[in-house]
Amino acid sequence: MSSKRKAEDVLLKAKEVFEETTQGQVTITVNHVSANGEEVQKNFGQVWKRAQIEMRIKKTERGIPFPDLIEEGSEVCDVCRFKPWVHEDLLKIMRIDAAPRPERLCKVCWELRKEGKGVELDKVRGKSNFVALLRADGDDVGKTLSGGKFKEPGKSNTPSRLSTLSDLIHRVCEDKLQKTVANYGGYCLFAGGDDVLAFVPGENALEAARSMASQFREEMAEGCTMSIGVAFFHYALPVYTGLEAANHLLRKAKESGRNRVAFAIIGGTGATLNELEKVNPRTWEELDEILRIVSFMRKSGVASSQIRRIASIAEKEPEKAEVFVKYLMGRRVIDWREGEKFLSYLKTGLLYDAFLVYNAFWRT
Amino acid sequence: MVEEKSLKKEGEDLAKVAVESGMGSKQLQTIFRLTKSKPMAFVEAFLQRQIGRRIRGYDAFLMLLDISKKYAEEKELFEKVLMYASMLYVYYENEATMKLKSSAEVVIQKIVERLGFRYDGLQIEASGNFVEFRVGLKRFHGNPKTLAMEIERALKEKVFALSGMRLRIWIEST
Repeated sequence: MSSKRKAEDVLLKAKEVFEETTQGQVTITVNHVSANGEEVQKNFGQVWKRAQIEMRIKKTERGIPFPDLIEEGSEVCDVCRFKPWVHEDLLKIMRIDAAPRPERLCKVCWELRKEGKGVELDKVRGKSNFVALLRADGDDVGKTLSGGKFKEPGKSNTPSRLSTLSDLIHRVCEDKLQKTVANYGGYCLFAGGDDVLAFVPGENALEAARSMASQFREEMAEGCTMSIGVAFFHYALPVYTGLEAANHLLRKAKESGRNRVAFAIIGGTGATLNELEKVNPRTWEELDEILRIVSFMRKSGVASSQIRRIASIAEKEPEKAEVFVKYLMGRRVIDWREGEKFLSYLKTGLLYDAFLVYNAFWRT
Repeated sequence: MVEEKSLKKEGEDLAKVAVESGMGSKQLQTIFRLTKSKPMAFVEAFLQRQIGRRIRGYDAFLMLLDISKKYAEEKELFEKVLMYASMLYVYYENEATMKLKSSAEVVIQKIVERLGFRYDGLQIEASGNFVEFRVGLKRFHGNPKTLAMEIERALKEKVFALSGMRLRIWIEST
């Protein structure tokens, strides 16, 4: 909030500082609405709502940014593949064909590297060579900030309440969730507002997601939940493959009722939208069950080939899968007690999902 | 359209009746094989012939005749019921013994570990009112008879299904 007279100057300065910091790579839209003191005091919720609507209108007014043209024949940066390269990083040798050469970077990527920013997926990948990109977002945070949640206990939306709530959400994401990601051996690429974007070793990603969601819910006194999209991909695949998938999965998790996780394991050839569309988002309780099944699969003495057969039948014909497990139990191919556990897991309908995780990370 | 679930249920029931009536698993497999290669009339005649020959499993043969009449026009469904039944036969044949084994194993393991031996598997054979246990142990020393008696007492006390049965326990040092 500022006085009406200074509003334009403050916004322009904020825009200037933001775009200077991001070296023009990211732009920001700024806008303001005016309201008198009485309106702010008595009806701040409405003022806030108006500000949001006007911001949305302003965002639609901006043109689509046209990419910078580069000269024909010039070689592009090895990292962003977008701008011509200007520096060579002699510490990083690229093995291209039979002629290794230093990595070539554009001005922005070079500056970022000098500052030590960025994550090298080689360092994040687990034993399975898979990394996971986690895209987390608080549920209904817009509604919460616009005062919807304050109405429940019969309170009005005031600037100080809004500021406290906004600070809390920001602090949880930027501080606590970032630490949680680090505890699982991951790196946060972005953590602010109610958004988190992080790389985590494939093996730990689902536990990390579960931990993030429960921490967010606890810190928000059970008033807000979190949805997460988790895209597992081979570390050598382009990052945008994982990023697009994680965004899509997060959207699916939100569309299926929020407070959910959607995950997909992307093979060597990437994943099409159709394949991602088939992913079934799971509630956090279902994820707990999936992780329990994975742990059982890891510890059980059942051969991974048998687990694969059971899971692939379970995916298409659950009735047959039950009969098949009983057949293996009767023939003593699998231990009776382990067979009984398989039968109980079959009933949950989560066995195939669990198998996908087991197969990618824990199969011996 | 008959649902897969109800076909499975029929197969399951058939397997249970086959086990209870003493029909051999090979018999069931033979009927399944015949169904795949011969017309339904032939299968029915075969079932009637086996009943006439007083082959074990009278109740199961009768049930099979009923099912074959029900699916006389849909042979593939009859085939499916038989497929489920022959897959589930071994399960129901072993179910009672294996359940007994699971509950007995916990009791036996507790006793042997308390005495400082290492449990190394259990084999169980049941027929009628008599059950024989073969307890594999590592690092066993002492009198096997005393241990066997202690295990027998504990089993009769703690496993309800064994309380009225005759038990024989063998201790096998491996």
